Amino acid sequence: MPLPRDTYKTDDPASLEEPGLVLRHHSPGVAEGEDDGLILWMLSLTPRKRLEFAQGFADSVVALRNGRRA
Amino acid sequence: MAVAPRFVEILGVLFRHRVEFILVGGVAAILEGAPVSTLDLDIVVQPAPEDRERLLAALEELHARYLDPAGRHLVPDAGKLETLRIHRLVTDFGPVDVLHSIGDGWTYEDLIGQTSSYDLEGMTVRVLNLAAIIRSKEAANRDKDRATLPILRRTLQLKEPVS
Repeated sequence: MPLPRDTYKTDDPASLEEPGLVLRHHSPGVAEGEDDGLILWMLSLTPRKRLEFAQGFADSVVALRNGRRA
Repeated sequence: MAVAPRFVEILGVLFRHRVEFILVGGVAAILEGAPVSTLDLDIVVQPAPEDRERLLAALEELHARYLDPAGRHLVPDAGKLETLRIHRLVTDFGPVDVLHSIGDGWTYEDLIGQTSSYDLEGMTVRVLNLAAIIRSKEAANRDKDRATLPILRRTLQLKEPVS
């Protein structure tokens, strides 16, 4: 599901963590088969926050797997 | 019961032991901004003997053992690190793949010029650039690589600076 526009607004200080990053004008949502909104939101995060995203996903998947086995 | 990988903890052990490595694969793609998922941590290491010693010490601290379908308890040692090219390991902090090369046989030396350094919790971690990650997945051409290529390519398009 697309994230709200203000989650990746360009005046967010987190956006400045990626040198040279340009957030182009794309409508949030699916374009050319990919979810641009999700990608732009991810690009707006600091590397540390991106790693937390990865960790959260991994935790959820493993919890689901373990739940199924229980 | 499966254990979720602890990415920061694994990186912390590698960093403390001064292991020379390049972060590749899914975690690298995520740090480069791609919203993909992964359950392991992939690194390409330096093959020099002194680097192997540091790597082995780190793997011992992580209690690394080979992912073995037969259930045997096989642990890395100096001989295996010298001769084997791929080490699919499980550790106390989750799965770690230690690789001598990726893609079309690209080694640490081949890849080092295509990395960015990220500061994570006081650690400086070398991460393979997204463009190089894409090339490595194109070369590997496995089902799981092909599945993630569209989102990696789109991420690269969206983050490319205007030149």
